[in-house]
Amino acid sequence: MTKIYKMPVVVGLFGFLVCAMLLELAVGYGYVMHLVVPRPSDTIIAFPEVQADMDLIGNFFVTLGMTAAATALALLIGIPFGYFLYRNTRYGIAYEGWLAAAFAAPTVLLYPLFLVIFGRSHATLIAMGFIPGAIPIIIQTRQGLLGVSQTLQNVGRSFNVSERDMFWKILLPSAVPTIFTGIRIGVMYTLVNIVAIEYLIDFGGLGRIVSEMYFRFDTPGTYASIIAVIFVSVLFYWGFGRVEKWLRPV
Amino acid sequence: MSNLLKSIVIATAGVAVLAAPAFAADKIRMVNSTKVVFETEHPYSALENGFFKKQNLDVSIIHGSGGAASLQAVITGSQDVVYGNGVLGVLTAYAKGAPIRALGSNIRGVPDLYWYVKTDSPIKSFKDLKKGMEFAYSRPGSTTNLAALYIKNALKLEAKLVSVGGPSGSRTQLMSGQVATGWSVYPLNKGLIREGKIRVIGTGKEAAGLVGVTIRVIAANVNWLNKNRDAAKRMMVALEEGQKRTYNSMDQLKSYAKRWKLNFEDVKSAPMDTPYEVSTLLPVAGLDKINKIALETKKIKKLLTAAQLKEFVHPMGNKPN
Amino acid sequence: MAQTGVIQDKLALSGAPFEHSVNRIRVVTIVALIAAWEVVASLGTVGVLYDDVVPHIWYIFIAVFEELISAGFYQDLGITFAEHIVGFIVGSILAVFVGIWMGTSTLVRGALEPYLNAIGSTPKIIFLPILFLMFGTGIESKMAKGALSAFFPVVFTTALGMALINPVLIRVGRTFNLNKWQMIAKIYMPAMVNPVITGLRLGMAITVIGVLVAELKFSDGGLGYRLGIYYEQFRIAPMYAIIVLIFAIAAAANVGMTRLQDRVNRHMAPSASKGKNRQASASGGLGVVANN
Repeated sequence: MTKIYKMPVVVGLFGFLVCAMLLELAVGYGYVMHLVVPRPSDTIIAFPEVQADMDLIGNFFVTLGMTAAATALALLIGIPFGYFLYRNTRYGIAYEGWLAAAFAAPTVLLYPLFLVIFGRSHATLIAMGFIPGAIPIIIQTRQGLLGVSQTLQNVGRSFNVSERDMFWKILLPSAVPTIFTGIRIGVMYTLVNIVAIEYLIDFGGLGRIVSEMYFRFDTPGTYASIIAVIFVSVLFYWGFGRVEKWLRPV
Repeated sequence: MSNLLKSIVIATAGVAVLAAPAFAADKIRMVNSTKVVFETEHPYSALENGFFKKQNLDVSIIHGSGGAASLQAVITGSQDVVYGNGVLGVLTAYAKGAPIRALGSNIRGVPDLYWYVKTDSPIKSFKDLKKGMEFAYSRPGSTTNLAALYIKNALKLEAKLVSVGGPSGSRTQLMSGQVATGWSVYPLNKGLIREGKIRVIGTGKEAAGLVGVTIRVIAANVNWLNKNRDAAKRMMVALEEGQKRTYNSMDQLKSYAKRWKLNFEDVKSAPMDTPYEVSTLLPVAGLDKINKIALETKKIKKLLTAAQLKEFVHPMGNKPN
Repeated sequence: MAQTGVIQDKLALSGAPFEHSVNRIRVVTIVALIAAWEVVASLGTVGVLYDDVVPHIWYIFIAVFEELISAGFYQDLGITFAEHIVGFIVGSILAVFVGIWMGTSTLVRGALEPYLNAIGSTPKIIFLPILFLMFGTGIESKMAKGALSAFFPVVFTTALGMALINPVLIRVGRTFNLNKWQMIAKIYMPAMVNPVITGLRLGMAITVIGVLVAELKFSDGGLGYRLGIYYEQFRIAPMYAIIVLIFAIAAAANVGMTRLQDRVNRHMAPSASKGKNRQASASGGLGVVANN
């Protein structure tokens, strides 16, 4: 039986609590400025206040909704375009490098451009979330389809399956794990971009709350809302991971 | 030989005496709260015309993008003085125990704000803003939000207040038809007025409730202030001189236009758009009203007392009376 | 996983004509994109769009040229570069040591991993207020943001690299009684060069984004600041010019790091890994995921 103090989770939690207590004392005795780092106890108290004042839960759903809309758009365009690049090898090779470069590019900087085109609206946020979401979906769709076993395709051809059946019964099921990797990466970057833009332009859901608390010099509120964003990020990815496992149990 | 030695000693002493003031100049780190707007020009005017040097001050100026970040820099001690920060933010920080005090007023009222429409719009003045029409402001809790609210209440408008972001965002949304009005601050977007693309429907002067109320202040870190009170007083004198210079010198206006790459035609009338009387460094007025606004907008949980409001202001760097 | 052999065979069969047609597609795409841009820009002139919103390509070229001959651009470039390099180096060094520590101790890994994963998956931009509070609003906070951005991809890939080290190599090191630092220098680091470089490549790209975004929010200099100023002043063509230049610099940095990784791969000893399929590939792959 592993001794409890040797269990990693317990050690991590213990370490976290010790750090929190030290911080509480440091701020309480004035060694750390409370306007820079609040006492952990003040931060905990701030949670219900931020919820009452800024509707943390409601804004979580705003961010979630925009992420879902941007992801849906990315899927709608990304998967067919990825399939097109798979079917047309020349186009696939031609755009492969550009897509990889676009993935590494700081697309978040395009937000002033989208602000001038779409204005200060959810459309800007969705457009900004769509771009980093679509690129990995396109790349991974093509990669996934290219990676389908030639043997499986030959078996399909030997049974004279139609192009349509070849796609739905052989290619797509084989490529789903890779495509899903792209979707997971895409969703992650979509959420990151949307929260980032919300923070930068003070519009939208969770990111706006962090910015607003900071503007009010409400340091406990600022830290509370940042912790809330961390929490919902973790919850989001955990939930997405469960959905992924349910969709493809193997 | 001894004569030569004497000459060297005298010359060295002379250089030391001449250099002494430079070595003894008090350093001040100032953050200019925003960019481009006319009343942020005065510190640069003081710097470029040697008014800080005259007061034996070595002032470094950086500028922020408005909002909390400039003030935070002073609160945390990475800067000493903030120029032109919103009084609501400064008062809120003070109420929460931040080591910040107001030294003087940067502007009273909001005469420099203006609202505009496209030239072909049927809206001629604020009174033409009907129910459902968008009355623009920058972001919740900002000066423009306050001004728009006061104008709406004063004129009993039914138009809806809409957050459009900064002057650029406002311009795009207005020109592309997403909103009925746009907001700006002189001298920004004046080129569009000159070109006949937009028409002004009203200014912040119509926010009657804010006339005479200090909207932006010059503030300092109180720990720095207590150790450098004499330097702070001299800084305020230099800023006052710089401000007078900005209002009275075409050369300074040209320098202002060049600094921010503005068209000089747009900048020429800046002293009229923001009258001198509203931007004198004293008084810091209307704090009672600002106190109430801070409570209404949930920036503070309870009103500051009269004693606290008195302690908040160190006029021209002097201790409160 | 892509069967790159399939692509290689097709290329071998088609040879030069295939390459020509690929290049033709690229050229036609660029021309079509430029033409589409010009059409949209012209819509503004005829009153369909707000005419300042999408300037003609020529104006953007002029603006790019004006930036490249302006001293202010290089000053801002220098500021961004300094913030990026310091942030990247500090964040990466810290991350490599933490990653090695996590890799050598299951207790440490188990204790730290949940917290690192939680913060790692969060958009780093929301930590900006804390960084401004702690480091002020000058260049230091941008360096701190850069370090924060660089830390996570490097720590995850380093920890992964440690886990993938061939146990035979570790046993050999222990047989020779190497101390902890000798193990790091002679066994761990050479064995996990590839995953660490993958992490560094990702970290470098993400640090650029992190620094620029911090400059956009509050700064007194740097390319992000310059972009923000142009937007505030509604100088759209220069704004696009800065975006184009930033993208070009980021692409060049990415290509440089990719080539470095390819070179390292060519010199790598094949027995260094356990032989498991590595998720990170040097060219074209997405590698290990990390956030900005």
